[in-house]
Amino acid sequence: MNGVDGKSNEAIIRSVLGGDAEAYGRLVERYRGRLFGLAFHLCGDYDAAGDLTQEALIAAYDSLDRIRDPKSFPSWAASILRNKFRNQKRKRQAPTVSLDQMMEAGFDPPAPDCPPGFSDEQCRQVMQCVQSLPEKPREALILRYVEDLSYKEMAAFLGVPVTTVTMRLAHARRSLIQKAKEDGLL
Amino acid sequence: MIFHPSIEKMSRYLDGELSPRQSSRFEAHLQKCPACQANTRFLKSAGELHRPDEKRLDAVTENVMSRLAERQWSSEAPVVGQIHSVSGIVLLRCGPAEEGIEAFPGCALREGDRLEPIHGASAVVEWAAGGRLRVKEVVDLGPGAEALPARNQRAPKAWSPRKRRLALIGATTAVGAVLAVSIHLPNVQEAITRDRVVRARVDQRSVASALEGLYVDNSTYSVARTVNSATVNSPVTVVQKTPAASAEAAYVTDLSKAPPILSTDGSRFAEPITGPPQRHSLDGLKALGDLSSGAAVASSSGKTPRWKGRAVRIEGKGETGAAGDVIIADGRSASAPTVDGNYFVHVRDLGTKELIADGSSWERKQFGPYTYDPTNGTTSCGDVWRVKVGSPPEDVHRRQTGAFITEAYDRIVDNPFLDVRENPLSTFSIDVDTASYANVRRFLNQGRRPPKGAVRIEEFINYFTYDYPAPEGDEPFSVNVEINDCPWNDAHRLARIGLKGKEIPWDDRPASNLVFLLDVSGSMKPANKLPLVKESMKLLVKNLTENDSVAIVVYAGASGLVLPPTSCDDRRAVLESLDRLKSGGSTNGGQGIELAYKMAADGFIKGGVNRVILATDGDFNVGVTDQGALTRLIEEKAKTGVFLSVLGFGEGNLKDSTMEKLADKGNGNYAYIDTLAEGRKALVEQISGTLIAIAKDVKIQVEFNPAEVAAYRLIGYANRLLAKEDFNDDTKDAGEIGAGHSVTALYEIVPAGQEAPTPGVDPLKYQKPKALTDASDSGEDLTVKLRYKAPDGEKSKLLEFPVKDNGAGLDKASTDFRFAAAAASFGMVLRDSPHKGDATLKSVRRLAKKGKGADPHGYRKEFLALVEKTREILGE
Repeated sequence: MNGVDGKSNEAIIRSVLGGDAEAYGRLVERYRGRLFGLAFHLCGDYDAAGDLTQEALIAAYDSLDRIRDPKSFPSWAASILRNKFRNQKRKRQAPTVSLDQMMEAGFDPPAPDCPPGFSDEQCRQVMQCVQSLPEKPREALILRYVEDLSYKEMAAFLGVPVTTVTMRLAHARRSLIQKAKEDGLL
Repeated sequence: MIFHPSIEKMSRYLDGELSPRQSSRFEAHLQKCPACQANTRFLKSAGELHRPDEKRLDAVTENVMSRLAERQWSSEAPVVGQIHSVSGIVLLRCGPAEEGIEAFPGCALREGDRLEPIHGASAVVEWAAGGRLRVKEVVDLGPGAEALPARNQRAPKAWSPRKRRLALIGATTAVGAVLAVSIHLPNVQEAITRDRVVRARVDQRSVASALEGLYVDNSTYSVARTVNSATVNSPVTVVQKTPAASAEAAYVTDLSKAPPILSTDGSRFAEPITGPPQRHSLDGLKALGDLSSGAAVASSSGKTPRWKGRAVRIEGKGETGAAGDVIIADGRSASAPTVDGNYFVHVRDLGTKELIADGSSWERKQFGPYTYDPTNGTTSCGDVWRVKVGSPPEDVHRRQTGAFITEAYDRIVDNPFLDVRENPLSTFSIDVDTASYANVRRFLNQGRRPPKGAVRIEEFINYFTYDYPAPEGDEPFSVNVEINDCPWNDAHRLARIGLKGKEIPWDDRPASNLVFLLDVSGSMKPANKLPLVKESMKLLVKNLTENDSVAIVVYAGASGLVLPPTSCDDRRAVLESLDRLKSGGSTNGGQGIELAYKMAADGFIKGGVNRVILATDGDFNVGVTDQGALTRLIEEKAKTGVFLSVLGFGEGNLKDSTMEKLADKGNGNYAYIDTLAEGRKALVEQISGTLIAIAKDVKIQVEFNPAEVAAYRLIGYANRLLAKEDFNDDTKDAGEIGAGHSVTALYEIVPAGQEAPTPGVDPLKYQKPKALTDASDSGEDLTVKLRYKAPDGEKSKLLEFPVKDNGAGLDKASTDFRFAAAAASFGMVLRDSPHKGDATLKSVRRLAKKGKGADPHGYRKEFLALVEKTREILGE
């Protein structure tokens, strides 16, 4: 898969492995959006999503020499990101680190990046609606929302057929409209 | 009846996945169906809501790339090596060698490798000239044997552990190894490989024996002692010709990742460039580095280079095609043609890739004349390969200052001489900070001259403890004044005002409520940051008891409470929480501070020590970065009795000025911790002073007697000056003094009768010069006035001490006087102060030697070593 800047993933990865760390920046630029989307879907918080995306990209860099198919860099990085998230979650359940409790207690509530024209309250409500969707459709929807990917690109990224992507997005939107109506948002 | 299109259609429409025809049909429906319109609009806006700010995405790129860059240039690389030292034998464990090039059977070291000898010391490896690695420093980790295993377990991360092996290295050093580089082209790669293997073996043994030697000499690993010496720039010399130097200068050859071939000039090459070389005359070329075979060059026509390449070989005019095309033979002595100009360079194009050439960047030499220096340590590698890295350390620094180092220092202007008749009063706030000295020491130990703004002379002076008599009675501190000849100006006198805070025995201290606020963001990962924070804090915790409580708040992307206020009779819980901390994420210092203050307020102990201890590399890169808002918050909290101490860690990002201000506003002190020894100084030896304030808002006002003094100059304290009216104004904040702290201020005095080195002003037209009082006949030079408040007090108390100059010469000066003068003149030399007079590093050394005194902790000895180091750096 070639990006707008033309160079194939394979070529970039080869120069990164050849020692040109800077070249990795191109891969980051190219795929940060969808990885961030995935991270946001998992964390439900922009700050945490940013951190997770970074960690995943660094980890991907570290094991770049083990990638089997350079073409599949995005989905490969996505699996690294998912693993990272799972590890983080497991670690957070360690009994004495009460980071989670603290967050629940209401310190530092994640401030939504509310675009102009929406009140914070509206933002929060809509986000909550999206957060309450079933996992797979939500993943697809958030990914689509965070970065304008074509269904084909999304399918490749998520490792599912295009029809599945179409179904999931439709499912997500149907549920979202329903929920919005229940909550009086629509 | 209207048939609504399916949600799937709407969904695909929104995502632009409908064909144009389907799309316009759907739009036609929308025109007449308000319900579908509403749904579509809602779904669209929900999408907009989720679109993250572009800045967040940019931050991802920026953070990832800067972390990769940081890793490349600093010692953040994972821990992979271990040197175990047992009774004269050094065991070296390290990762697998790459591509069949082994330094030792199965062993290779690379940049950032941490050598961990078992005597509680560890050595950090860094880049040296010529692409070699050297031992950067040996850090004494103290009796921290427990700490090491944990680090070691994490170590192998980046290495595949399958080939790990233990190699036994005798302490003998085989330095006589032959290093001749074969220059027969067909064999050159093989020869280089062989050369590197030999060199690496020698180097690793040198490292091992250097470490061992250190241990034997000092029966401990010296604290933060740099093992390398000035021989950095000629590594070949070290190995080849001066075996004796190897104990001092230990190198490990770079055997780092990936590239199968190294050029001997340290540039790493990967990816052979194919195609025949082209011949160019030098007129059309710009050298990106010193021009020699293997150096990078570019075409010079126009502003943008048309292409860049690497010189394959260089020929002198008239010698075209001569045998032995390679010009530089062994890295130093060159069989190069010496006629300038008239060279032809065979070049292979490297395409558009930006080159980092042998320590010079394209920017530097873009339009300047190239130089051809046959003594430069470059050799041909016989073939053209793409360059990866290869730069001498000073260049790494230069590039870092351009790109990665974001340390911030305020500009400091030295206080000028003031005429006593115009300005009889000198008023300032005391300052017990010591960070500047430790930070400058870090620069010097890295072989770099510190920025002038990083040198705060008062912190140099106050880094050292002075043996002033303890206060008597109820006074919280004693005041000691000594006047002697000024060492750097024969005509002047030097007055030292020394304050000594009351000692409070550790066991008698009030109960304490401490909140550690620790930065765990990604930038804290290097060994001299979070790991050092953890070890330092552990030292502190180990001295706390059931009367003390500790809470731990961390901040990175989000801030969190890691440990609620916990009494230190359960010290283990605190230590374990510290152990568990890991770095990662971006930093939001602002919110962490709020949470820390909340914890401190929750556990507030009336009459006790309530203090937030912030440990950070100074980064607040998300959220509240506004210094103003932050300092206001801290100031407010200080008024409620919760003070703030700041511990600065690491390098590259140190916001020195911010941290000093924060501590200043928070009624606390700021210490810079670069080694565990420094951590021990701040958090164990001087802990009473760090934690227990015995007086706050301590201000000094000195009135000079015009009958005795013509002019004066306060040395240092440039950012602590107060207006004379502030002295009696209790609402004006000033510095605190901790238990056992000593604070020293120096005045350079121009005695009456001499011309004052001040510009002077015209006589006043409407006023006569003020008449002198009878007291001016007293023979007193000056009167020191002090104001201070009790730690929880609101009203200040006044102390006054008249001082006479008994005319003593420097030979009568106390050791402490000499040493304080030495510290001050060292600072002046480093700042290149206009007032440094005759002060040179030599005179600093002389003063410090005579002023060394008992020096129980060895800090003054270390000072002397640092002065020596500075002489090397400044070439004095």
